Amino acid sequence: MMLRVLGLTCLGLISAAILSTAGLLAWFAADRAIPVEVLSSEVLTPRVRPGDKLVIRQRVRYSRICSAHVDRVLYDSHTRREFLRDVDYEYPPLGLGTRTITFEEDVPANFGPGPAEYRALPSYSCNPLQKYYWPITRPETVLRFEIADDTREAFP
Amino acid sequence: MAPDQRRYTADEWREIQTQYREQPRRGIRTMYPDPEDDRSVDAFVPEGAYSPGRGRGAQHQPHPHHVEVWIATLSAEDIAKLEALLALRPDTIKWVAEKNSRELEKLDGAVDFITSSRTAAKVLMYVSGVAVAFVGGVVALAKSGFDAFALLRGIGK
Repeated sequence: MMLRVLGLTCLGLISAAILSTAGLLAWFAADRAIPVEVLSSEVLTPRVRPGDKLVIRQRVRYSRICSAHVDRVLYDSHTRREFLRDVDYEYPPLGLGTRTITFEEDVPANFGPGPAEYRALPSYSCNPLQKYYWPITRPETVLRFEIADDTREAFP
Repeated sequence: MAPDQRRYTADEWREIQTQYREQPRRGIRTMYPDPEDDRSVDAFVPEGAYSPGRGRGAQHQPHPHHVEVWIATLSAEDIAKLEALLALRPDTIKWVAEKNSRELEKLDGAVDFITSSRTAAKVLMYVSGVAVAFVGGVVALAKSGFDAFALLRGIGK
C-alpha cells in the first residue's frame, strides 16, 4: 500500500513537472508582442560626405521591459558594406515610454558617391526562450541617404 | 389385545409390502428363470469376477446438492478457464507447484509492479501527448500572430 502511494505520488509529480514545463514553454512561446515600436525615423544629414558623420533621429516607444540586440549595417551603391557597432541592452536605458534618440555614425571614407542605406535589424528577447532560441524580430529599419560626390576626400 | 391380534411393527409392515410387491415378479421368475440368478455357476467362477446383480443394482446416484449447484452455475467462460488450466503444460504445473508461499508473494509483487508500471507508462504517455499538443497549438497560434494567453497577460497591465 505504501509502495503504491509512493508510486502514485511520483507519477503525479512527474506528470505535474511535464505539464508545468509545457505550460511555461507555451507561456514563453506565445509572448510575441513587439516591445519597441519605432514611431518615426529621419536622417538629419541626407547628404553626407565619406568620412563624415551620418546623423539619425528616431522617435521610439518602449512598451515592455525586454533586452534587445540590433545589427546595424551601412551599404553604399558600390557594393561596399560597413558593420556598425551593435546596439545591446538588457533593459530600455531610459525606461518605458516614448523617447526621441539622436545618434551619429561614421560613414567610411572608402564609400563611393551615390545612394546609400542604413539598415538596422532588431531582435528582442523578453524571456529565456526568446533569449536562447526564438527572439522577437520585426522587419529591419531601412533609412536611405546620399553620399556626396567628394572624390578628393573619398579617394585622396 | 391378544398376541395374534397385535399390530404389525413398521419393519414387519415394510417386509409385508415388499413381499406383496415382489409376488408377481417371483411368479414370472419361476416360470422364466433368469440365468443371471442361477448361482450354479458360482463354483466355476473365480471370486470377484462375477456379481449376480450386475447391471441391475447400479442405479444412478444423484450428486450432492452443492456439486449440482456448482455444475449448473458453470458458464462457458468458466469451462474455458478450467480447460485452459487443464491444458497447462506439465512443466508449468511443476514450476508453480514448486513455489513456496514466500516466492509466490514475491511473484505477486512482481506482477503488481509490472501492472502499475504499465499504468504509469500509459498515464505518462497521455500527459506527454497533451503537453506536446498544447505547446504545438500555442506555437502555431503564436506564429499566426495570436497570443493564446492574451487575456491572462492583460490582467497585469
